Amino acid sequence: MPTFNDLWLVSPSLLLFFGALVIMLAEAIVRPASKSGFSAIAMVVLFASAGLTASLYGSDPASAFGGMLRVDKFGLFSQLICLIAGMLAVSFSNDYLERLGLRVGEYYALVLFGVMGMGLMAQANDLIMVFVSLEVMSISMYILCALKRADPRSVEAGFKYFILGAFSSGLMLYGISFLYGGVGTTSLPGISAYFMGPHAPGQEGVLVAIGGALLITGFGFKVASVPFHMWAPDVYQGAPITVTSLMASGVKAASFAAFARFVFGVVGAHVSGFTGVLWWMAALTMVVGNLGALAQRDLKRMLAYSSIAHAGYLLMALSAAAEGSARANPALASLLYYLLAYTFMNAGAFIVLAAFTRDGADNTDIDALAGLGKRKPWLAAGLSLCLLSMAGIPPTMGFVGKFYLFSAAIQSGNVGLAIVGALAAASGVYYYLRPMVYMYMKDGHAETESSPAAYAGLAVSGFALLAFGLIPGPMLAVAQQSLQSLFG
Amino acid sequence: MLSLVTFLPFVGALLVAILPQGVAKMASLGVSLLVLAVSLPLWFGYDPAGANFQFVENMPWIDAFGVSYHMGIDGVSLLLILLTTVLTPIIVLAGFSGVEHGHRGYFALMLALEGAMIGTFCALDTFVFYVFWELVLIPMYFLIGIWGGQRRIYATVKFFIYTVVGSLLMLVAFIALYHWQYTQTGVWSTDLETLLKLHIPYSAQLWMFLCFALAFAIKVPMFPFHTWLPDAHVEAPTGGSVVLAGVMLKMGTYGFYRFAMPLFPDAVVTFGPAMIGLAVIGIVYGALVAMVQDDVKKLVAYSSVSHLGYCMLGLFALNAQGVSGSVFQMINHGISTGALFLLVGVLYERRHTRMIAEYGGLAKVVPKFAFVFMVVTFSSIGLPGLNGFVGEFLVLLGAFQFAPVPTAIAVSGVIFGATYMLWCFQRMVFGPLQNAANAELKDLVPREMAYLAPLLVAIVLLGVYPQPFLDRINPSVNRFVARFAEHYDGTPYKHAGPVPGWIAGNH
Repeated sequence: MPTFNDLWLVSPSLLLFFGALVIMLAEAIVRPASKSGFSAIAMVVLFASAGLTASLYGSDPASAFGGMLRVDKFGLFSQLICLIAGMLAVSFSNDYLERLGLRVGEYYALVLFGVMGMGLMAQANDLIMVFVSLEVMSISMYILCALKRADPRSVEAGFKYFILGAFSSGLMLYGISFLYGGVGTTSLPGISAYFMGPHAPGQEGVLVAIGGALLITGFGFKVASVPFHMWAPDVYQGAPITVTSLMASGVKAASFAAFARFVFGVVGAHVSGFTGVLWWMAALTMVVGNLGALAQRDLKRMLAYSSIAHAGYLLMALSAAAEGSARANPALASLLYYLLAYTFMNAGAFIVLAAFTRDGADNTDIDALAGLGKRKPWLAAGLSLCLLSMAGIPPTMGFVGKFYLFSAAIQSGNVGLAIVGALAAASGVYYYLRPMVYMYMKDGHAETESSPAAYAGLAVSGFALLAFGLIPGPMLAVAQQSLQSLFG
Repeated sequence: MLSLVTFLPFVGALLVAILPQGVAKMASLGVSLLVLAVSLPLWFGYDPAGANFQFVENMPWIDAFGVSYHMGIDGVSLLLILLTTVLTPIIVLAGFSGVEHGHRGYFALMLALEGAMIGTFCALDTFVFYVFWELVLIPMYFLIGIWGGQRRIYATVKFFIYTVVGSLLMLVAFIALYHWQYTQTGVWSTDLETLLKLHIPYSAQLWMFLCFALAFAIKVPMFPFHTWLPDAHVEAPTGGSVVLAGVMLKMGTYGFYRFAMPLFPDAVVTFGPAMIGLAVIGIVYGALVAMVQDDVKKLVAYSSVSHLGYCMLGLFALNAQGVSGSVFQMINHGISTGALFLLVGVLYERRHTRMIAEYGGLAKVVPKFAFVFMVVTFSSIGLPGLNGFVGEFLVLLGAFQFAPVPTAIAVSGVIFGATYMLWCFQRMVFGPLQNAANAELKDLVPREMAYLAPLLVAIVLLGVYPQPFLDRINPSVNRFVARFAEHYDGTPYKHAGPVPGWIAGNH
């Protein structure tokens, strides 16, 4: 029986849940004309949930629902990132969906459900809970991807994501059962304690290896790391832009948080072979993501490959995190900091792309950007800032984040991986510059349309990127503080 | 004080960006003159006999990383900062014509560039240095890409990518150094003065030096990393070329002087012969390639490759004459090559061609222009009495004590230098006036004379009376050289042979 304290600990998620229900009910009764108010409701709910998350952040870490969730600063910080990703996505949803001809209240309900799943996943302390919240998140995303029912690309995206996603969920569940067979529990602290304690050597080694490998596959799929990245470009391209934005940052943040708990708490210190696996995944992901993006002319595909590349940088931190102690682990702190940075720069870029959507169709070809610097200097400046941040050029938040990530990798002795990453990032600069070439150095006349809310979202992202780039101290301190209560 | 000089241009850039288009020119000229005025006290306040770093500002910036906002200058940075603040108003004034669209953006970026470059020369914290170092790229990228010539996009992307590849590897080495500092002392710090106290194992020094050196060698540019330079120079607008040649290339040599060499002295000894070899190749190769150019801007670009070779040769000579000469040569090159690009810009605005063959007999039509061009040409080839001579002479003097054979080869660069510059001058200025299009050329207008005059004064002043400048350079250079003497008991300096002396380091 859940106690009141349990409910208080999950109140941010509960709020999202009820908000989603309200929107679904209202969808049935409210006249179509007043449905634009839904985005305001969603925004308020997300904002209130973020407020609750922030207020929980101050309290001591606690387990909820019999150890299913662990509400600690690490989880709450990750949840906050997901909520920010949600808010930024909602900020430009309303007018974007209207221009696409999609006036659906369910959209906001699904966004709220999705963000709820992300938040819970970041705090899940039991593999079963990881799986359940992952499904809550993923199923919302599958539907959101296919929202543009008339557009074959969108349907393809949703279908592809669903099939592959379901497959990877299956593998993950299979992995969980192997681990359970080997260790006898699905609780993360339980598994960790099993490895720490004396245990008879036996068949469980094989079971754990298979289970761990399958789980890494599942996580690798969700964060779009090589070799499980194939779906990302198609899905990112087909999905509505707002959904892509949420998927690239929110899903990534939640999956990395759960992945980090799993890697750090379970496999890292005990099953050393996995560190090598993560090393190779990180190296390949950085290289393939950056090289893949070079050839893209469609900006959504370009950003999809860029998102893969960023997953690679984050994996680099994760493979560094697998070694060393939890409390003062710079790798985990850099992971959190970079996820936050990525959320801002990613959302900002997609907000600008969404401005080109007209008459029910997206226009994300790079040619659309031509001449934007003259027509819409603020949009162009915002996109440039986001791209420079993604490229890791100072004085942006992306630079501080990358510095921190590389620093963590080198500290753990992974100089080789850092050099691979630096070279991959250097080739990445080329495709981050190209949109700027089009915006400022070519002439064009693609029309744009943005609502004040979208501008506000862009302004918030841009401000955050600059502010946390110039004065990173306080936010770094928060990221480091977030680790203090990790793993009891 | 240093912060004021560094950030005033940024404030000015914002101001110019928001003020109406019409006043952009005057506003940016005003800002750049103000920055110049603010930077002059640095010259008068700098005490040549005083501490190594002066006007120091040090406050914590990012505690979590141990990064401090640490600024300070020695004699070398002082001169480079003054070079920047003197050149910027000139560039702004030159930009009054020739910039055809988007004045606000052009001048705002130019001012931002000035601030970033000054910051690079002031930073005494590696993190702060890296931030400014990369920050320089962004305005330059847009300046070439938006206001450049036909192949501007290719040129600007090439410029950016080349520099970033080097920079990112430098970042990796710098982070590794930062961790080395932590493991040795238990304190996180990116402060240069702290890092200089580290004892870094030889093997680690080697790869770290290579990473740093690559970043700086690309910027200088040293042969064989120079190929971005002719493209960037040719396509950049006049102002962009002047900044690029005048100041930005010195960021590379300055990087060697301030970071790469003092941090990794053992590696400097190991790679010294190779660096000297590349510098000499650059000197001769740059001069030879310059000789066959038919585009005058390209000619000046390759002459930069050659001249910067002297700077590198002097730096790696590791003795006081060589290094002082190298620093002096940096300033000279900034002035004379800057002036050359301005002159090319003057011609280009009138005729819209840079082909040498299109000109000829200019002395008759535009005598004032021809006179200025002559003085600058003589300065560039190092005629005694003008600035170029002092730097080149010191470099060769220093280098010869220590690597006679390479230096002897490098001297041939001086001859080639005279050849290509004088030949170019002759083809453009003397001879009969063959091309009818040149008959109506307008001579220098007062505005053009106004911005060329300070450069001419500097050319003569530095040539005739270099002492005040050398006085400020020398104490800093002596400290720089002493750092190597400390490490190797002076052995490299006793052996006056090209290779053996170098290897004599004690590992």
